[in-house]
Amino acid sequence: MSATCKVTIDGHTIEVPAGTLLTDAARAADVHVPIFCSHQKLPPLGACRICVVEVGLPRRGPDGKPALDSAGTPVVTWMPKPQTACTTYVADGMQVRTTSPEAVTARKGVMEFLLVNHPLDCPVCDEGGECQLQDLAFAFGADFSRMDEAKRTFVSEDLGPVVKKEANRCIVCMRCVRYCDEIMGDDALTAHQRGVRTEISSFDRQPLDCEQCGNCIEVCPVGALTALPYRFKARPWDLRQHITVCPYCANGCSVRLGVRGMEILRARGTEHRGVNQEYLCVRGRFGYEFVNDAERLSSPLVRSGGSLTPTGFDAAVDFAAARLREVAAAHGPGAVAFLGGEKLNLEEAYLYQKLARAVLGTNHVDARTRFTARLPGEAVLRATGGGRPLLSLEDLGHAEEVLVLGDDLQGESPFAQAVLVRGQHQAGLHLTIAHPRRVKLARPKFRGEWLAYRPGSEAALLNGLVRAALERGTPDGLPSDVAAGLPALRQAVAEWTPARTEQATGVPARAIEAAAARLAQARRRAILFGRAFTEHPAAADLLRGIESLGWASGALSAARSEVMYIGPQHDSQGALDMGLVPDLLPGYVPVGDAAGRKPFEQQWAATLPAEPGLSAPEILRAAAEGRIRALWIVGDEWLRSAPDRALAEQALAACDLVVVSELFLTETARRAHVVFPVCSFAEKEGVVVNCERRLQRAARAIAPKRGTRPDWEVFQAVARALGVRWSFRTAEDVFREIARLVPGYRGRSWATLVPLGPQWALEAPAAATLGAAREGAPPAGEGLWLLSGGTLFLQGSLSHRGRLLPKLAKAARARLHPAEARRLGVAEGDAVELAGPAGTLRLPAALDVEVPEGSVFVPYAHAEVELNRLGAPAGAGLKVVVRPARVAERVGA
Amino acid sequence: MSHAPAVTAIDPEVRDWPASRRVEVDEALSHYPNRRSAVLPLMWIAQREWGWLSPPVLRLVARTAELPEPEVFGIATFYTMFNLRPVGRHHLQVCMTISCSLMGADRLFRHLERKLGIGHGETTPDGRFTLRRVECLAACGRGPCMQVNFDYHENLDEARVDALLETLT
Ligand code: SF4
Ligand code: SF4
Ligand code: SF4
Ligand code: FES
Ligand code: FES
Repeated sequence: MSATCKVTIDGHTIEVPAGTLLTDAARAADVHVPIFCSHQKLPPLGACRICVVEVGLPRRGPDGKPALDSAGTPVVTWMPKPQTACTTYVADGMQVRTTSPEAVTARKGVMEFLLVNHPLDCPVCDEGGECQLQDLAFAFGADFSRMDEAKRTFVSEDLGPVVKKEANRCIVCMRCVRYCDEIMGDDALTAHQRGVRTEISSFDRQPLDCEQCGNCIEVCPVGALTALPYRFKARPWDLRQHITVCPYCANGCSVRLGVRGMEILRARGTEHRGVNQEYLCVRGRFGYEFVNDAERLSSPLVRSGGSLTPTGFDAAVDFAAARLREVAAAHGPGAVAFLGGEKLNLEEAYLYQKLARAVLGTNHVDARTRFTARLPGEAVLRATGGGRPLLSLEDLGHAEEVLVLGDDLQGESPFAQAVLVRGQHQAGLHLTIAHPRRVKLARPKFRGEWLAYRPGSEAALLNGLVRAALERGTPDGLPSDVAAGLPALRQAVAEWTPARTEQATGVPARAIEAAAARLAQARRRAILFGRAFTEHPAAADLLRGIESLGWASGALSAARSEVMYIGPQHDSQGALDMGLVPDLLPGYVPVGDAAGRKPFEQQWAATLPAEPGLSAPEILRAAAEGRIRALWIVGDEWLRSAPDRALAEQALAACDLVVVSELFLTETARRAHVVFPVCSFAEKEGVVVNCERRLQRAARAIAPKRGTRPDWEVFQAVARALGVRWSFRTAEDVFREIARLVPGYRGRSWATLVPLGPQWALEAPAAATLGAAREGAPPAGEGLWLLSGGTLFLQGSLSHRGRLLPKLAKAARARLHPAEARRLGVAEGDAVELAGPAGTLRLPAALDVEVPEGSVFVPYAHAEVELNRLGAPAGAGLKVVVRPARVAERVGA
Repeated sequence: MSHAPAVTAIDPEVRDWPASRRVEVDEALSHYPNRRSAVLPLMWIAQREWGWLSPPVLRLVARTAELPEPEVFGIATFYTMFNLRPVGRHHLQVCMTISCSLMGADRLFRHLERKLGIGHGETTPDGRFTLRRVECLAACGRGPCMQVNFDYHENLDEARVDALLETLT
């Protein structure tokens, strides 16, 4: 069989790869074949029959060659009945007719059947105007119905707060059921009854117990499933649609915002664009409420006396500039620090550090405010292969073996989770989930392996895996520096035999060996890591361990990287790339590298400080101790994100100047001297970089809310007030400077980033650092290990502003294993008190067999959970004493 | 009309198979290479035990067969012979399909409705009878016919039905 096939569709002959479905071949030939049930991410089904076409194949003679008629043209044998294009694979010489009388009649017949029971209530249907049934009825249907029987009717249902179901409109294409099962891994929907009475619903018609992603709504080709939050809000033709990038995680999904006037009325996937196409998680789809929130700041605030007073923009800029100048003059540039910025667009991140370094002369810049210990700016780059070409999210779905280290992807990276679920279902992907808790992907239904390591034993686990991987031999394609370093690495991890690792981690020796073997043997693999390791007090060691595992297992090679970092925010990667770390200039140029500094100094017309600055946790301490006297905090509720709440309070109180750029008057902003109201993601444009290091244009969907500006304008205004002559007119101007100057970004332009930009890579990858991970000292004191992690329904303080997401997230609970709860005398719903080294937290308890004994799980994303009040983790983590709060304070279930 | 109401009555006590059914359950599971294939036999065992498939019972079946709960619910609704609501001690299932219909099934059904004071799908307050219309019972040569629990009664008329009901206590 040849690798490609020639197919003729309605007279257009095209060549497509063998194994292409006729529907896709038709799309390639620009011929419209209607579909309902088939979907790009689901295997062929053939449920609805709307895609019927006539198919013929060349007749073969006895010699196997196509038979020719007297005129010398091949004889075609037409199949006796029309075929469904969505389940028919192309064959060489295939002939297809989509507009022949047979095909047209067949399609009309299907249409007639589909409409037998359809209520034709388009005027009151939210899908109207973008409904495939409506469109196709118009294009292919008859204009009258021969049916005069009564239609079967169902009662409409709210399946929870998100999904509205009008089963009368359902054409039983099964897309929703299959999508939920094969891509969400939730199996929340099912078909009830059968035949003409088939109805899609949930278990016992209860509210859906699921991720509430609304993807079932998105893929429903008709108005049977619609979104409750958007119900009766607008008609699609009244909406302006803008495609931008979701601000809620590092996956960087494209979202299509539907806007009327100044208001965002809905968010949808993009069908054929973006890394995600139709997919959005619940945050991406329903998390835009904060943009329209009435409490958005609309005027700069300046502290006068005890209170923050609204003031004009110029006055606020002058105030901030004057005070910055004073502090720098009195205490030196080292007394000024810049925090936050993982939510900034690339151009803004670039200007933020340029303001710090070139204008104020300080390297105290760090976007990674949650970190509990100093981590070299290059650590993530090295762990992900030093800037070598990185696997994409699409590649991820085709991996044979995927190791997820320490993160619950459901909360941190919902789209990557969906990619993995789909790969597991459809492409034989095998999952290895290293996590103390049984997170969703570690459930038996995904048939992976769960490495349930003990909290605090992360380093041991990595060392054990590195050793076991090296036992399988030396991987191919290593760069010379790594090959030279391997013997030393072997030595360094020699003591981490599977038996010893089992002892330290609780993971069976056999499972460690098997996991390493799977990684080493797979032809395509991936290792994913994120916050659980980067925000760990031993992050520097853990990242070296991940890097070593990458090289030892073959996930890293001279040519390519299969290790992906999933940062906490949608532009965490961009912030790293742009040098929002104390030791690197944009493009990973060390601040101490005089030659590397030169182009920046020339372009910026400034002498740059060569000493690395303080990292975020060090800035926190220095500010609390009065060594840092001015802080700028951008887009970060620092009182929640800093690792130690008491210290952060102290720091804010001690500083002579605190500038905050924010959308809302957060707790942190209340303590500032100057507050700049800034634009939300939907109100500004720029570039963001997702976890695959892909550059994407984030477009502006609505005009800035009154009184707000994009962050970069604020930085520029303050820089100018400090006497430098920046003259960027647009964010694109800033990007042009980046494209001139920054390694990895050279030569790029906005125009080349649409619809989807490239994944950047460095021409000269960073050198490797191999070594064993040192184990952190176990935290002092008695108590339970504190486990935390992301929550699907909430991410960051902006997600607290809407109504839907907090409602879906429900109240936070301290989750305990039932056996642990019994020991503590705690029942479901009882109030418990968690006491850490610095403070306490009170929460209702929940019993959960998925939390290991000896630990307590508290999600960090809920507004009411301020984990940093307990004190900062140190060494291998944090232990807290859990006890029942007084009985009178029992919290309702 | 075909909107099946939610299963409302639930028996929150059902957590596990009673010891007396364990053997049957294991036997059903042993017939198949994977557990999910045993879902129908498991439902039958459950219906024999509890008389009907309440949500907790279906959850138990799902757990036992290692299937998603919604899928098990869908399966239970697909087959008409699984009871998704409590039924009386005697489940009267009257065939309404063509042969029986020609032989007077409609009249017979109306007679039962009047006599018992209940309609299709309903149960007498004393829990003795549940009445239901069903499709062909494959006894077409001897219509009208009615299935009572698992017993067939054929060539029925009003008098025969009355006599039959007397014996069903
Ligand atoms: S909202 Fe998402 S998870 Fe829930 S039923 Fe629909 S597709 Fe499934
Ligand atoms: S609800 Fe929509 S997606 Fe689901 S089967 Fe019906 S028509 Fe298809
Ligand atoms: S997966 Fe991430 S990027 Fe995609 S919609 Fe959800 S939060 Fe946004
Ligand atoms: S689209 Fe081909 S059968 Fe539904
Ligand atoms: S028609 Fe009644 S048994 Fe067949």
